[in-house]
Amino acid sequence: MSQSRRFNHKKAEFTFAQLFEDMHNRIDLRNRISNTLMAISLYEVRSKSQNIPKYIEDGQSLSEGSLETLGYLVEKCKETNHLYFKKVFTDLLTEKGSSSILDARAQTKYEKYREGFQILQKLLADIKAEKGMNKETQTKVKEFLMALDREIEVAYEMEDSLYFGYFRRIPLTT
Amino acid sequence: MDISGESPSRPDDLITYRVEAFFRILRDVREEVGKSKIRGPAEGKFKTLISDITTSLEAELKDIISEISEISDQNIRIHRSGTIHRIFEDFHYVVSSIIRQSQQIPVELYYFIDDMLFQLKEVPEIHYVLICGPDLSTTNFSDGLVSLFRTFPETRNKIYSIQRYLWEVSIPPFLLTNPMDWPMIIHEMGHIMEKQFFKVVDEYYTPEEADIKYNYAIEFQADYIATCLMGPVFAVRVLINYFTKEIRISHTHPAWKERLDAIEEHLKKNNLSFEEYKTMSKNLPPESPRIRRDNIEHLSDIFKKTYNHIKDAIYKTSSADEAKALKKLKRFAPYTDNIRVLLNVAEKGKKHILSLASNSEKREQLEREFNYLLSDAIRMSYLKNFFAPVFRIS
Repeated sequence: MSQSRRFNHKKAEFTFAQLFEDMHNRIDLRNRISNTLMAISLYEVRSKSQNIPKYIEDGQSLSEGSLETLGYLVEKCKETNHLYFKKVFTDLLTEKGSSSILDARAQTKYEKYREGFQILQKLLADIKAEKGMNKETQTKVKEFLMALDREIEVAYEMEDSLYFGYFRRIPLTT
Repeated sequence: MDISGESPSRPDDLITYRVEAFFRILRDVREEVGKSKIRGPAEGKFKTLISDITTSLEAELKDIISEISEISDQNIRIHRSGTIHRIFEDFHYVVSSIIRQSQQIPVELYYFIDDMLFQLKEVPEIHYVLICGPDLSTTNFSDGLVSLFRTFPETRNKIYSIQRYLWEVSIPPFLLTNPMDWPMIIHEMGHIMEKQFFKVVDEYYTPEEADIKYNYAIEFQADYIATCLMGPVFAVRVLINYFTKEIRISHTHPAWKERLDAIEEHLKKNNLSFEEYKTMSKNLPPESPRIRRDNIEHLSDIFKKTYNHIKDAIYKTSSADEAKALKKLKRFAPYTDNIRVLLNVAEKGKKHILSLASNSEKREQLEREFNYLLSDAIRMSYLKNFFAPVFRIS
């Protein structure tokens, strides 16, 4: 199903504040993904950048938060307080509510995300412990994170357009 | 983006070259903000925040570019460059939106809000910017910036120390032109007071534990604050808005009938009446809210605790004050003793004035002029109070 058909216009009755917060939560999440990629890539070239520990921290919170959220959504593990993660993974697993989280397709996606974040978690722990990196694992994690970022971008392109065009929607005054 | 000079021929150089052009965006933002006039008391805070952030970003961008040039994987370089571009695009957009959309706000609206906040002795200064938008809603600009700049760790760490709260209140144009609707904005100020100072709802509910109860509780609380501070005029405007839908309100709010029932109860407790509701409430259709008001078990405690923060400024009036204000308005003269009394009698005054119009054209003109009269009265009232100590000295 195309993205535009999946977009629920009824739900699109956002206020400015809701769109502003939603947009910035999404940028924050995508920034975490970008910082995680930087952590791996800078470590790979043995960079002296002082930002590496912060990027690793972002990667760790990204993987922990995502695994906790996925566990809650699919395995009914303990409730998560990562509200925005919950929204995004629900939307990605169910294609924004157009299918059930119990569907085979959602289960396959869940397995893919879980595996990706578990490998990431291990990789970051190895980087932190100065254990070095396996080239294959490193490539796999990078591909996983870039694909996830792209999935998020595609899933919310309508919301992004709404946000950037919001002030064009001001009604006429009387 | 305009890149002067010779274009680089290798893809790696091009990426670095484009990222370097972001310095110009930062300079443009700083210049645009420096030249602009933002109405309201938070202009200085807004300009300082943007100036400090752009300075910090400029310094940090050098490190970011150096990091990008170190990376061997071209795909990651492209990804990082795209991320930085997206951040700067949004930063420019949010800043420009505030500059552009704040120009349409009448200065009298700031006077109205400041006069209201001045009565609240328990509430410290609130820094806010009003912008013209499609709906009535509020957000903390500083929170948005913190989310935006995760890839700039040094800048991100500074934002809250420069300005922890800078509220951005979106106000629809219809509401801007009619001062009788301005009390609706006090509902938004109620949200701001709760989130920045009171934190009463947080004692009972958290978004993590009970999302819907928390959301409804803060809406009922904001109605309570606006009703207590503004009196019946707030209730009437909410009721009218239910029927006209002129002001878009988020679907996250509780059912209209429950909101209006609660507002009526608050007015009764303050010995104020809501006559309009007695007849118009019959026209409200039944709704099925996600949860009913009775299910928010701590609501009365929330109201009690909120009352302690706003008790100095509860709306009280005498029939003599109201009669004096109404008499002035009926003569099309400004009443400048008390803005809240003015707005509470404005509907009656307007009805009287419009009844004098001989045709629809005159009626429309009178209605517009009556709105100007209210704006003028608000400005004069504010200035009279503001300069009162000066007059006494002289």
